[in-house]
Amino acid sequence: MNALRKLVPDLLWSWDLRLLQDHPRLWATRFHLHAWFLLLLNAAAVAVGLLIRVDHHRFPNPEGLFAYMLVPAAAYAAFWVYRAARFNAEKRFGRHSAISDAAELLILWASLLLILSLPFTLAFTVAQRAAHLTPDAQSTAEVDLLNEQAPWFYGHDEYWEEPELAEVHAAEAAAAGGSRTKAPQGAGSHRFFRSLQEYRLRHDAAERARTSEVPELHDIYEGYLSRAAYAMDSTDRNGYAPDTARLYLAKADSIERSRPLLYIHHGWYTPAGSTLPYLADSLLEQRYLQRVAAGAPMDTAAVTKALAIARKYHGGVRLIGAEGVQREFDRRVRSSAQLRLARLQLERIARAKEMRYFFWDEEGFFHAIALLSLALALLLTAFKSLYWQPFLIAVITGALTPVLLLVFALIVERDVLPWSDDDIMAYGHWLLMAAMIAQLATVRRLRAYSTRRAVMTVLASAVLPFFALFTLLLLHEGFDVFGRDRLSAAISEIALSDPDDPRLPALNAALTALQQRIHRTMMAALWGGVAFYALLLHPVLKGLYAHLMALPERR
Amino acid sequence: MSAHHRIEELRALLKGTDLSLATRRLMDLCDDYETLHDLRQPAMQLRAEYNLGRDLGAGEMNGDRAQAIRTRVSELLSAIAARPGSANGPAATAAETAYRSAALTKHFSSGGHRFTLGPIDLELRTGEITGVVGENGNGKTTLLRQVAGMLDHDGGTQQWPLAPADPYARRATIAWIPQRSARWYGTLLQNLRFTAAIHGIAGDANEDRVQYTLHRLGLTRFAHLSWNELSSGYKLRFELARMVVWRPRLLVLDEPIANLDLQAQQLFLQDLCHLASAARDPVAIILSSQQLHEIESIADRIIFLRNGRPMYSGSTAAFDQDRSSNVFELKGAVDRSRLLAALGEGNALALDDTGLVWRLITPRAIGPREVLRALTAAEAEVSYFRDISTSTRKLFHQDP
Repeated sequence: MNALRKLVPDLLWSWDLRLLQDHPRLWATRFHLHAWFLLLLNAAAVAVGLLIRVDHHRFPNPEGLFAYMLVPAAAYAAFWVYRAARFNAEKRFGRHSAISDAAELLILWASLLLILSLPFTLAFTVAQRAAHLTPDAQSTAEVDLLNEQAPWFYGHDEYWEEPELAEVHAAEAAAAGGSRTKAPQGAGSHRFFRSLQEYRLRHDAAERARTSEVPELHDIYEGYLSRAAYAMDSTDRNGYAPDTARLYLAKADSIERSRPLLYIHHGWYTPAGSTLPYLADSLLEQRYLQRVAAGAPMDTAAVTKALAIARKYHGGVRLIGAEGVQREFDRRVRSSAQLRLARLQLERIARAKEMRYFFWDEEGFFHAIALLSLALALLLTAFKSLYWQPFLIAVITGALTPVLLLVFALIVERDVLPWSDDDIMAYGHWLLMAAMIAQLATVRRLRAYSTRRAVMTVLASAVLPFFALFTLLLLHEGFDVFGRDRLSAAISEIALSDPDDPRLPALNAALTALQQRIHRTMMAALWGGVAFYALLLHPVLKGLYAHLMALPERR
Repeated sequence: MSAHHRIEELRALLKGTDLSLATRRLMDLCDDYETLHDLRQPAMQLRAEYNLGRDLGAGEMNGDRAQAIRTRVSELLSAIAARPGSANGPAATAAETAYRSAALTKHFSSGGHRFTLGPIDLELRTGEITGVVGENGNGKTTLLRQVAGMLDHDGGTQQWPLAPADPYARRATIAWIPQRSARWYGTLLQNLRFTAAIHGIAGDANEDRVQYTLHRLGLTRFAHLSWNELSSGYKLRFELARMVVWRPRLLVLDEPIANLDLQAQQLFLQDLCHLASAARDPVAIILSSQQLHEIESIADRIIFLRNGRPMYSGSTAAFDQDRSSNVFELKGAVDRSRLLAALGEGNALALDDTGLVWRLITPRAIGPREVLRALTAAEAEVSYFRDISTSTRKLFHQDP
């Protein structure tokens, strides 16, 4: 502890003294020291983030770092709670101005939120370093190049032979045994189509393929290739048949010669969800088709560059050279360059560039953190204001009540009460919350301290910030106060009678707008309720705690 | 007591050996009178020097250092006396009622056992110390908790005239020191500053008040210690410091000296006396204890509880003044027949062996002088003798 004291500058100690003597409640939150140590810890987190190895080949997952850092953050939070609860004037001298009470809650809340800056800082530092490994423009160019050259590299897919295909190739199936065969082959990412029209309608065609018993040409093509691969497997004594392999390769050749349209998974390297200006799939396809139609040869410089780029992002990529790529392509075997190994790293860097992490771009996560911190701050103020017994009983009661209510709901649903267990749970909770809040009006009239009433007051303080939201949710779900269900039903009715009804687009747009309005209203109820509680109701609750603690005990 | 008398008291102290008491009383004097507030700092400095000197050596200081402090105290006293009006400075503030109860009762019932405290009529006045005595389980703590506003009552009335009517504000003005004080965190100094600040003593006044309290109660060298580093005696002194730092008007202490050694008891009780009789903001003090002799030596009033009922409640000095007999405790290498013979026919109404001491009851006319004279004449070897005729101690010997 003495070592920690040495980390605090003299100036801060003089502030500490002034705060202690002039603003003891603020001093007791230890916010000034807390903020200082968090500054140091965040600086340390930045330093660690800068020391962690981050290069094109690998860097740690920022989300993982965030999760790991939650452990020391939780430990620090526990330490801080211990420190903040130590100097406690509340139990005997807890009545203060409303501003002071509100400020104390906000400070405690802010303190807890500040602790969560630790995992953010480390994860953010690493993510930013990863994001800047490759400049955006260069990254886009590299991905586009890889996408454009991808057709020269047969993939590493494996596929399961469909039973229908085995029937079509009954003669050959006898050799293969007709069973489902896991066949490594080099054309998994390539699909042939019979015509340009079919190619354009590939999605519809794919849909029909799922329902049709007639095998698609590309299925047949892949079947030939898989059998050739199977027959070429010299390690399989029973299946090894070079002549059979040559037969299937010839058959595959005949398809390729007569059906030049080849569908590949364009944009394979394009990171999902990224908003950088990569070449669109359609453009990649168009360029590919132009090249095939023109019978253009391989661009060896581009292929060599693609290999180098992929190697930059993954050490497993083999630099086999443009000749090697051409040779493997001609032999229609899967590429040994392992170009696709680079894809995951490109994806991860793109995520870092756009900070697509749960701790950064998830609205719900921020809400969860803010509300969890608020709940902890509320509990801490209750703990500081009351004896520990009602606080503990309140925590246990709060945890057990939903379970007990669920058991009750399951027992009485439909049989005893004419409602579902969900309804009983929802309305039961609402009634309990309302009862907790209603009893607050009588606390001032108490003549002697009551543990039961203290417990109920703590529980009421915990539910008060969310009561408006919960009430609104019940009104929305149970009574359709926003009219969403009515509008949905009207749309469904119209759509059922006439799917092409001209009113439908406008109605659907209205439904979307209504849902957005409902969301905004709910958010307003949530944060409005929280703000209303923190600024106005919390001082009232603190006054009730103080009143309870001032009352004489019965025993 | 006027300032003039206080100065004389201090001069008398300087002639004795208790320099600790002299420095403490000098601080009290400068603190009590507003006209002397500018001398609080020098007085505190003298006390600090005394504490430092005592810390360097063991026990009371001797030699040149003590003489130097004695001289400077004397000089300061002369300066005080020379101030216009100081010789006839204001006397102590008039006593005020800090607590009053009438027919106060409290019932407990547990497992078929019923206990009732009261009815109790009690008045606590500033400047006075009230002792609550009685055997264990007779309601002493219950009564003190009621006085402190911590326990509800079932019958009667109680008032705190000097405190606000609001129960919360009232609780904040009553200083309560329980038998086992709750653990505290941080250093003693931090806690004192915090307590003073939370009572509205801010800024320089906070520092001044805290330093004054530390020096006055001899806690300076413990200022940076924590709970674990203090002995139980100093924990109690700290509790007292934490209360007096914000100048309460009603101080309630439950068995405060139970765990103190003799010297610490004496020091603590001395401080309580000075606190109660302060000219500025005198305090009404009520405390419970089993150490009857010590309590009776400082208490202005005594309440003796038995089975929850006050067997005696009134002035300590007035206890059993109209008695018909005297009661003595004595111990020595002497047997019963020899004792009775020494006292003479008819002079011993009863002589009981309590197991530890003899308890002798004599007619009122046979006082301690007569008993001791008789024992001396009989050459009885007496190692312990105490006249408890006017002490509530004799109530302990009575059957319930």
